Amino acid sequence: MKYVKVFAAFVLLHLAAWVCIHLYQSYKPASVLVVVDTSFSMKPKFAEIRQWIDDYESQNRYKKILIGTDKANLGDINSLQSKDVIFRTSFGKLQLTNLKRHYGGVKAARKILLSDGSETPDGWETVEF
Amino acid sequence: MRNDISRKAITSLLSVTALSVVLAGCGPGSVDSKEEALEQLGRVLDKKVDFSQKENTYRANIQLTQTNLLSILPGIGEYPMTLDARDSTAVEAVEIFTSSEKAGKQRDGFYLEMADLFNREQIKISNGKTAQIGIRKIASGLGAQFILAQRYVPDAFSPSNHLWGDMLSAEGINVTQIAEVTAPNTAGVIVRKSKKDEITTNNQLDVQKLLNAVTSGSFSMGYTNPYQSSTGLNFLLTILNEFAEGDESEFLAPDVASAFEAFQQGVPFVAQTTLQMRDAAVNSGVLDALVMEHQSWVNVKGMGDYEFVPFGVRHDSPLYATPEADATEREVLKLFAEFIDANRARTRDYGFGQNPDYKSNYALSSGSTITGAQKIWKDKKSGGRPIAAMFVADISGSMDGTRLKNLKRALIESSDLISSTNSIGLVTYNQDVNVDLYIRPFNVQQKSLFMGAVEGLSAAGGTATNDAVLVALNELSDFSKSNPDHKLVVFVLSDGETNKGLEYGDVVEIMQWTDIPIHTIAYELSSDHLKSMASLAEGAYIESSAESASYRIGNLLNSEM
Repeated sequence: MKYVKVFAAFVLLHLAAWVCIHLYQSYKPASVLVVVDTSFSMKPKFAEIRQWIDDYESQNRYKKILIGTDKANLGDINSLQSKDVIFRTSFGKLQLTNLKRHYGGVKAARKILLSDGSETPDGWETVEF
Repeated sequence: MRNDISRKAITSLLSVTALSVVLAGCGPGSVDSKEEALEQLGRVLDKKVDFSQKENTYRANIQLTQTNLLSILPGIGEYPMTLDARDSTAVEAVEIFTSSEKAGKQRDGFYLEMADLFNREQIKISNGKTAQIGIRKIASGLGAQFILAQRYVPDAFSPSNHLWGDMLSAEGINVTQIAEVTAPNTAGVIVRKSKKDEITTNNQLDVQKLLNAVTSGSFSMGYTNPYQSSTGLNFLLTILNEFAEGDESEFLAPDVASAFEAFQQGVPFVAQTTLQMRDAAVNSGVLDALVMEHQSWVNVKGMGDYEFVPFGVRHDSPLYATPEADATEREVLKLFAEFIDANRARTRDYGFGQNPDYKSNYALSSGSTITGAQKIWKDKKSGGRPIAAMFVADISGSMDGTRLKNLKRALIESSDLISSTNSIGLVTYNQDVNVDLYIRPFNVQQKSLFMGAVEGLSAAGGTATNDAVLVALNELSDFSKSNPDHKLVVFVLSDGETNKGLEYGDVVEIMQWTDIPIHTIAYELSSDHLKSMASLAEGAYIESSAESASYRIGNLLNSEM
């Protein structure tokens, strides 16, 4: 009986810890900024990039994912009506000045740039496609 | 004896040559780079221009009610009737606001000729009166503004395209379409033949290619102010349509606006007039492409190296009755529309009707999208770069009285159209030049100081415009050292020819090579000097009456600031 009680207490403790972690992470999710390079030359990679975003989103349940492109900050990924919006303004080349202008003031634990690797701006993790 | 004369001649020649070399060394030499221009600018200001820097410290009260373009429209008298017709006991006259390309002279006079022929027919309408048409030449955007502001509402309106009619309807002005087409026309990109492939696919405009070309920096394109120009507005909507992938509900989405801002980074300037753009293409070679209506294109000279590629919606000059038109006036309008239709063959004589197969490639269900698009343009046109502007105001003796009073009103009213993210300063001049306000962000404090400085202006003395412009260029150049992200621009307002200070010919190269656009407003004056100054770096030259100063300046600031 004693073992059952200890086990029940153990389970309860884990459950409580899990609930606490769940609540904490739900209420204070870490922000991650994901920016897609929508240069014209990236167009053939858009399907692959979209898959990467879907995978990342599903693997990072407790993360607040802020999404944007090299031309526009689109906000919380959950607020997008469709992910098609990410890819509709594809033209020109990636300009680092635009990245700085749109995202210089954004506070995020990680800043991820989905690009072709031709630019590796400071403070950003670049995922190459 | 002959040897003596030869010796004297050689000595004299050498002396003259030496003197010439010394004199040349004293004046500004030839300039062939921006760095050299800035260096010479500093030298000339040090040695030849006596200017002061007594900054204004008086802060004027700022009005809480904001001025907008509609509130500073001039009187309709600024745009006189080109064909007059008045109501009488025997005449039912209808006034039509008619866009410039069909209410002007010769090949731009299609409506004038049609109205004249129609009036001669002496057609009787149902009330027994004779139908007559009056024409007032007015740019489509400006005409729409007059109607929108209810400043002056004619009986009818024939803009270049239906976008203005849609906009008026969306703003609650009940315009009725009398005829969908009166002068068939299209808008197009006029592109240098050697660069046509960069923006077309199968001879059609490929907007995606255009976007890439413009933002790559290798292709330079200009278009006209979409608040005024039908073609400029059509071009703006064409770009937004591309970003929104044809979904009108997404035209005004924030990401579409941001993408437009990114596009604007590659656009060197937005022109006030088609003429300004044409000069930038033909004379200075700055532009590879510009926008223009087909009817203007077939009538333009000196652009043999360019080709026309149609875009956007058709420009068929619809005819609308406004709420001012009563039943009998609408009857006259219908008769006039039928008369034009019966004379359709004549449209080709004026350059219309030459692209009958072109179909509009976007359509809008709501005219409110148009006002929203104009707002996006206003907010995003500088491509994310703030603007630093120096106002250069002439306070010579000739400005005394009504001119200065109107100028003060114009500057104060139009200052509401300057975005607070931009920076401005003020230089005033007669024969002397003073920096009244250093360039700073146009926040409430700076606006108050600017208005205080303007209120305190008084006129006397001569006109040293070149000296003042050099001081302004120098101030901007200094400002840009600590603010390299700013676009620089000068606005010159003057009512007289330069009669003091430096000669234009001595400093024109310095002005040109600093590469800062100088927009000039000739106040109750027509000035080749100011026109030339504006053309140095694709600035606008505008002639203004005292009455229309607020609107002209406001319109310029609305598009540039």
